[in-house]
Amino acid sequence: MSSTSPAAPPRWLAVPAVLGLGLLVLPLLALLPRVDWAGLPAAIGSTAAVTALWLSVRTAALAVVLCLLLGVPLALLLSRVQPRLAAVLRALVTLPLVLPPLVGGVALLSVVGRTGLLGPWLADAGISIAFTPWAVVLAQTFVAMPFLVIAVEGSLRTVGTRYEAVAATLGARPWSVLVRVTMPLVAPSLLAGTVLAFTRALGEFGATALVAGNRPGVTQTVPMAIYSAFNGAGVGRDVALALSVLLVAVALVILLLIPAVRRRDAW
Amino acid sequence: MSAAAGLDVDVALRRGTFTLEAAIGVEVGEVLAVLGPNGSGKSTLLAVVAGLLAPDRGTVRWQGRELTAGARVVNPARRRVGLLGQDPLLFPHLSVLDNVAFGPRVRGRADGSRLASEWLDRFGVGHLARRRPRELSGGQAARVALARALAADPEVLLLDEPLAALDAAAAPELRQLLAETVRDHALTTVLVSHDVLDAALLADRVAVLRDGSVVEQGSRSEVLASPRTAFTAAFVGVNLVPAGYGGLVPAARASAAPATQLRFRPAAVVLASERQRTANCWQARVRWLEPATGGVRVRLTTPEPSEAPDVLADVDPAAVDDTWLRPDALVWAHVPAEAVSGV
Repeated sequence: MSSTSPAAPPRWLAVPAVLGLGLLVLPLLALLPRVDWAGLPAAIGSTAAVTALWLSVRTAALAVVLCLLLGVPLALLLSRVQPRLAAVLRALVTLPLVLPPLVGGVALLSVVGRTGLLGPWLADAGISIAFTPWAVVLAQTFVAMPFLVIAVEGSLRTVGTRYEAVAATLGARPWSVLVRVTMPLVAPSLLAGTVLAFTRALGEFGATALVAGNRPGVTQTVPMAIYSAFNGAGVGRDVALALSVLLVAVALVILLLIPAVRRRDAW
Repeated sequence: MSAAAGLDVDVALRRGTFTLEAAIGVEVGEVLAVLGPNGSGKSTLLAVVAGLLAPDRGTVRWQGRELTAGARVVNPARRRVGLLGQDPLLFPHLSVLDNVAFGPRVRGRADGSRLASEWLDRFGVGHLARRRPRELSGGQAARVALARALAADPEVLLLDEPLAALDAAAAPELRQLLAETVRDHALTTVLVSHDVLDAALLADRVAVLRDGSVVEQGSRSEVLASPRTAFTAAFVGVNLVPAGYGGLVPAARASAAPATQLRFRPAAVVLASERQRTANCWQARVRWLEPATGGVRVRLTTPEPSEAPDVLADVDPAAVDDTWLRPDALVWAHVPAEAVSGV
């Protein structure tokens, strides 16, 4: 960066900038020397780790499918309603993003818990959600969907409705317009939002802890297993560290891929 | 006006302080140009005809079939009304060929690609079939957009200033192409423009829209050559003033009825610093000078406060003498009686 321009920000701002970067990156780097690299493959391949990983991947994948099925229509709605209503709806949609995940967990429990809003009704129907893998999916969907909705809605607003109008005058029915024009136009953001939602679902911990619990093989996802290990239960610390590094690596790769995907599809 | 057998539009719509209350009729195979300045409601009118906008009340009929009746709007996809705007709006994620094949394909035709190729060839852009829209020039994109609109096989074609975004070289070419296409296919067409040239070359009939209302509608020659309202006159560059203005007297006319308005061309007005004649001569104040095709157009304010519009005078640039012809100066204007016609 050559800050020769007289309008550039003061140079000393580089100091807090670098400090900030350090604060974000240093803890993650500090993980590395603690990992037993020789034993890493064995640690990740251990039964406990594989069980947690497999559960995490399955639940996160299901959560992303739910995010797409519900979140895309929600984004469409948000992008088409009048601005004032959209602002209110957008605030509501963003709420799970900024709330402490534990609060989200309490909230979810008060819906699907035994004494919750739908609890008695679910019990009558013979459906149990709380403390089952379904609760994991529910918690993950709750925290991940905002990422998808915000990304897709922003893109829909940018694209506008003019292409859709043209498609309609060319004879395309509403469903055809959606599938052939609207979705392809927002495809880059849809992909980015999906990937972000998957990453967020994979790392979900707080809400899951309250609404799903921490039963190995049933509701113990990777983050739950890591937490248990540092409380001296479940998988060993070496496994926990290995899983932590794995989550960081997956998230990093995904975040580096997103800009590449967006660039490729920048029409 | 009796309802047209082709496209018959009579709608009203309010958006904030703007009110559109317009009735237009277009016979089958006819081209109607809707002229008007920006903000007169031209595009809104087209959106209603295309079914993209529901009017507050009124109807849109095509060959007797009701396409819009107030809030009940037949989906644009079922109207067979094509729309081509100033922005070609080619789908950026599709190739040129797939853009043109879009219409046939969504209608379930299996030969969409072949049809699209034919249309592209017809408009001289067949070699661009594999390109992406962002790789096209403005003129090429406009041709592709026209091909796409026609490949969808519309019965009515709406053109919303299709030439406005094109550069000086591409616009005449596309204007010519449009003229040939609508004639060859006998397409019922509504062309919206703020350019009189478009109407002169393309239209059979002309409607003039002002502040959401149709102020004049008739055959092209009627409206363009003999405008009946001051607004249309100013729009097509003709002077139209109330009878008695500046003591003007027209040449003897055949009709016995006295004229209520007088019409004369800007080029017929002669300006001088001193009074040089006695008849058909009046004093006016120069508002400003503006460029005109092949000369300078002088805008003159009316001699006394009145409803009469400004009078335009076209003068030879070589004759412009800024010792007396400058903004705010008082000058003498003269129009020969034979150049003035009564309305």
